Amino acid sequence: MTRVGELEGAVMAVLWDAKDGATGREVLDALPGPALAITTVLTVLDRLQRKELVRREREGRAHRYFAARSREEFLGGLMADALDRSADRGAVLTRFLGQMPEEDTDRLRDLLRRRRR
Amino acid sequence: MEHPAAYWVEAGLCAVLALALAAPIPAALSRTRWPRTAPAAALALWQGIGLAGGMALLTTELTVAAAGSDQHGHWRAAVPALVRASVFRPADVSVTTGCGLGALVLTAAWLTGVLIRSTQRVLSARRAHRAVLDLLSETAPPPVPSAIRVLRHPDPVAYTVPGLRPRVVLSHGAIDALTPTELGAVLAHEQAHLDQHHDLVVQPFLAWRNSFPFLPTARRSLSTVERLTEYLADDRARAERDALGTALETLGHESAGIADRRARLARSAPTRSVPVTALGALAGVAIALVPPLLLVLVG
Repeated sequence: MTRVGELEGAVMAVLWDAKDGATGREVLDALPGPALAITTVLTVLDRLQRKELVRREREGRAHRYFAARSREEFLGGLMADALDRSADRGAVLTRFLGQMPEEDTDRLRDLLRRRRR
Repeated sequence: MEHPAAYWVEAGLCAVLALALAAPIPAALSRTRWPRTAPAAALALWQGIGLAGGMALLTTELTVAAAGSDQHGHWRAAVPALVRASVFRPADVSVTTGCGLGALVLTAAWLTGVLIRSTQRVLSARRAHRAVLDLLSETAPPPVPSAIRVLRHPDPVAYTVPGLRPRVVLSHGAIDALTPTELGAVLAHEQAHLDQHHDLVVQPFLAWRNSFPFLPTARRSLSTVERLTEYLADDRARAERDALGTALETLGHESAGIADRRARLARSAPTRSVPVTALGALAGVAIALVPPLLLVLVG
């Protein structure tokens, strides 16, 4: 993974642990390793916010940042894309099992859920 | 030919062609069996049909507009004169011409609009998926190639995110459920989807389905074309086709699509010869050229 990717991952980890979100300063303090510049952290937070991984609320003159979803919810979203076929999505992903009609998708999900046991 | 009746005959021919391309021709093609042995040729033919359908509709509207005007003579002079007349002397334009040109502009705008909107939706959904994927996925454990992304989830999935920054993705569930040979076959299948840009091939039919959601042939054409891309991706892993078949059995469940692909894999190799594929491409191009040729030759 690239350095940028690692940093984004580290910032997300901080936000996932912060139940009430965190300001840029709080994220900076919570990050492991040598201290970074606050501008670096804010740039990363801004990029994450534009990717819709993070949302923010105004708090005075600063922002409080929150992970847009929990780790589990994000992962669930990826799996839903991989298994699902909603009317709009069509060619978003190409899947090994190909495009399936909706009824088959539901049955497949049941089967996979049962297989997981 | 300079007689106005010629334009009406042309309009009639184009309308018949457009109607044929909207329903009966795609329906008939979906029912044939030869695409299973020559999926690339069939895909090329489908692209031609899709293109020809839109063009036939637009050409019908254009020739109706020309038929209702006082501009006759060679189309190369008549059509620009017609457009100039409508823009600069709208009061002189007949109802027929006005309707024809209006329909032409609306149809072109609508088809373009739907194509752009559906492409934008797909691109933004892909971007969002990729952002989360890059955040949560891990490097694949050997012997899986390290470029493959892996999701920490017990449900077996194998897919690609197409586009300018493609990703091939497996879940731990898929890695656990499949043997190394089966994994290799599945990854070859996924890579074929990326290498052959199947997302681009399918996109116009997705837009067609979104343009005409009430048309059953639009839905069937989309699933037929998607199935053809699955055939082509399956063919890429033909060397390990037994492994591919068992992987389909392990990961899938008995649906019409899976059974069809497994049956196809079990039979002899498809006709992949260049001449056949070229023939399909030629047929596709020929169909796509019929509407403009009608305009040029008769007018």
